[in-house]
Amino acid sequence: MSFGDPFFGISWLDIIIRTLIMVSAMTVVVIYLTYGERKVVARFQMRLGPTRTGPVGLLQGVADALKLVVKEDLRPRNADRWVFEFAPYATFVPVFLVLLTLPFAEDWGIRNLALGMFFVFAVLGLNIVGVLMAGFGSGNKYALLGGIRAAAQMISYEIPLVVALLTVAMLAGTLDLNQIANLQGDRPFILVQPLAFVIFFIAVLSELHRAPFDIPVAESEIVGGYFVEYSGIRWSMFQLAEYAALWGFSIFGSVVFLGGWNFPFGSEVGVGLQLALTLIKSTLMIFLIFWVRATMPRLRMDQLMSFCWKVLIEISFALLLVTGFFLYYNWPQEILALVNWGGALLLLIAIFIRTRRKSKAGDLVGTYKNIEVTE
Amino acid sequence: MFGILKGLATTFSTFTRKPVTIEYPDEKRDLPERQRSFPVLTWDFDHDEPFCTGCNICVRNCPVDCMTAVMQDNPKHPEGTSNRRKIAGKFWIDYARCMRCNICVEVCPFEAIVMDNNWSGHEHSVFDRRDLHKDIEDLLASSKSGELSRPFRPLDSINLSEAVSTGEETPEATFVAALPKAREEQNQRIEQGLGAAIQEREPEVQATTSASNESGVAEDDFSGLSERKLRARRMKAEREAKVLLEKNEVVGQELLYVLGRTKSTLYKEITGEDAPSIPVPPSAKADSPSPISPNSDAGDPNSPRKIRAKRMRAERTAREHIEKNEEVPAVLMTILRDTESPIYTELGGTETPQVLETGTSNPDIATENAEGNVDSPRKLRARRMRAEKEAQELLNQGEPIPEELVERIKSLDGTVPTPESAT
Repeated sequence: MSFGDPFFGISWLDIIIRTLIMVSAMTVVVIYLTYGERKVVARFQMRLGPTRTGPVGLLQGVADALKLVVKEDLRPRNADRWVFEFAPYATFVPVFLVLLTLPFAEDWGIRNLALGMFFVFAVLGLNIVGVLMAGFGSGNKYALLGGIRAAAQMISYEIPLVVALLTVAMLAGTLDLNQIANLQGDRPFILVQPLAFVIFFIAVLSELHRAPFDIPVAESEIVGGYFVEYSGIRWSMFQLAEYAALWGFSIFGSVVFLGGWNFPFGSEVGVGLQLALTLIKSTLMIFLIFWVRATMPRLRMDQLMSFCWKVLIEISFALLLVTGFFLYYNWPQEILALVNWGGALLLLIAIFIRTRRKSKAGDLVGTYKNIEVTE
Repeated sequence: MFGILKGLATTFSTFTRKPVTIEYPDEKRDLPERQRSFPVLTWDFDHDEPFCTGCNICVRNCPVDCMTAVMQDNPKHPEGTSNRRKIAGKFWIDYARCMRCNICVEVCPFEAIVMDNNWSGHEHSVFDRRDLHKDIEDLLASSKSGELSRPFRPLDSINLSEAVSTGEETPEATFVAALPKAREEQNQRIEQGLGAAIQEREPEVQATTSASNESGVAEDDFSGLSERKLRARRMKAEREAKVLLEKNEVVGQELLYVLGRTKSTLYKEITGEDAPSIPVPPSAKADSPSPISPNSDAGDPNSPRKIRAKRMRAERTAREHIEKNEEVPAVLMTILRDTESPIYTELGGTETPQVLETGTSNPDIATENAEGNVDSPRKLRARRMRAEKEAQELLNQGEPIPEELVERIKSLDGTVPTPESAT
């Protein structure tokens, strides 16, 4: 029996078992992602991170989860009750749905969908609804502003994200994630489409509200933005959704760009090694996200939006066009890769030249420059 | 863009470095000698006692008033094991209040107090704020246990460096007897059976205490006082008693005790008795009523003392009337007559005094005279107002109102003035 067949041959029981497996796996992963993030960021700052709860602090996430569950669940008096109470689930469920279609190994997912990538795009949009519900239902104008900001950011960055993924889908000729991974046996798509990977990575950072695009949550400035009024278990649902999305996106990215379970060893090595390979690649992605978080300061809202609309979307559409040309005229992929790398290099040089310039207001790249004080 | 990559490289290089964290409760870094946690007392290992004499200099210099010290005679001084006549009997520091300013350390002339520069000085978490009141045992523990192995006073190092720079003779080392070496020497002494403290002199024979014990006098504040001090105490008590007598007020029991104990002649004048050879302290007298106790005749308004007081008061009021060329009121004349005042005849009184019997009720109300009913409402009112005025005057002078006056006012349905009504 392969993993794709229903458990015990009963479809409804199969649904329940698979959902339960995913929920428990996701909970454990999220708990240890929070722990891992604290540990990794601590090491980036030459600290130790949590050490006192359990051996080397391993039970810290459990303790945090326990505390959040026990904590009082507050609802503001003027909150819109049902909108307020359902918003965390409206945020969480789309993320969970994304996880359901990811292939962890060859044919080894909860459900393998023929339109897997399309499904991911489709349910991701629902995530924004939950964020807006939270901001609107809190009865707090700052939460509403935070929700609108988050929605604006997420909608904007969804465009380059989707377009960058489309270039890969065009190359693969399919939207089935399992098929996409299958096609990367000799070379992962990151080698062919590095620019698409960069765009994807930046857009994912923004979709996940990770630094330097963590404006919607911005603890030090607006104390959580759209979920400022939430506490206890509902707040932890937002956190769960965020970290589950982090995990889901990293697996998604590793499947689409890094070759998933397939790349270095092929499809003959068995489920265990394939699973390990997927998890290692996704862990690398997560580490990269943490690394960026530990390095970058937070952007301003206008910088964030202008970066998306003035830089990322243009580049991603250009890439789409170029990939289309290559596919239409059937030019070899090696040249596409060369063009891609050349484009990435040109982009780098262009940005470098821009950073040398005196920065103006609204200049995205000017933020990274060391501003020299002159008379 | 390169800036971003550079930043990523920087953070990654820190990622690969060893964390600088010291896991504090498990692992403690060494504290510098100058670490200033909280003041503790030092222990003199040579004499097996604290350096502190309870001189209160630190207490007075403490800007936040967190210290209390009590000086007492050093029992080791007569034994000859110490050269300190006085020693700190009690010492408290409220660590909750202390602001660790080091002033107590700077002002101490005996090297008796120093800032704890160990971790034990810092770790004072308690569940109750009151547990931060450290008594002398707590304060000495750090030094006594040898934990305070390098007591440091900034002043010493300043003096040393100044002496070195000017080429003068370097000052003597401080805290010598509180150092671990002295502690080791003390342990050696104890092992050799020499006693914890070094014998400085031959033990003294204490003459004063033994003498007073022979006479059988109970130990009290006066035992062992020198003649000069006894005289000073006596004269002070006599002065106070005289002031009271002039005001016709009762001489308090405590004061009488001091007078009797110091063999004052005033004692006999007041009580009519010789000063007792073995005075009983006032606390012990509570059971047996003494003739001089002000409470003993409280129930008898016609006791000789009260009659005399009444007479003198009446005489004073009468004189005031005479000075103002007023007629002395009949009530006053009655009192003067009944108290056998010499002024009565001067004023032309002819009636013989009525014999006042001890134990009768208030004579002012009970007695009648030829001029009519002394209990007439007018007279009663006048009497009440006079008594109230008198009490008010006493109050205004800051004197206590005598019991007798209070009773008189109450019997006249008057109101006893209170300090609030004084103004």
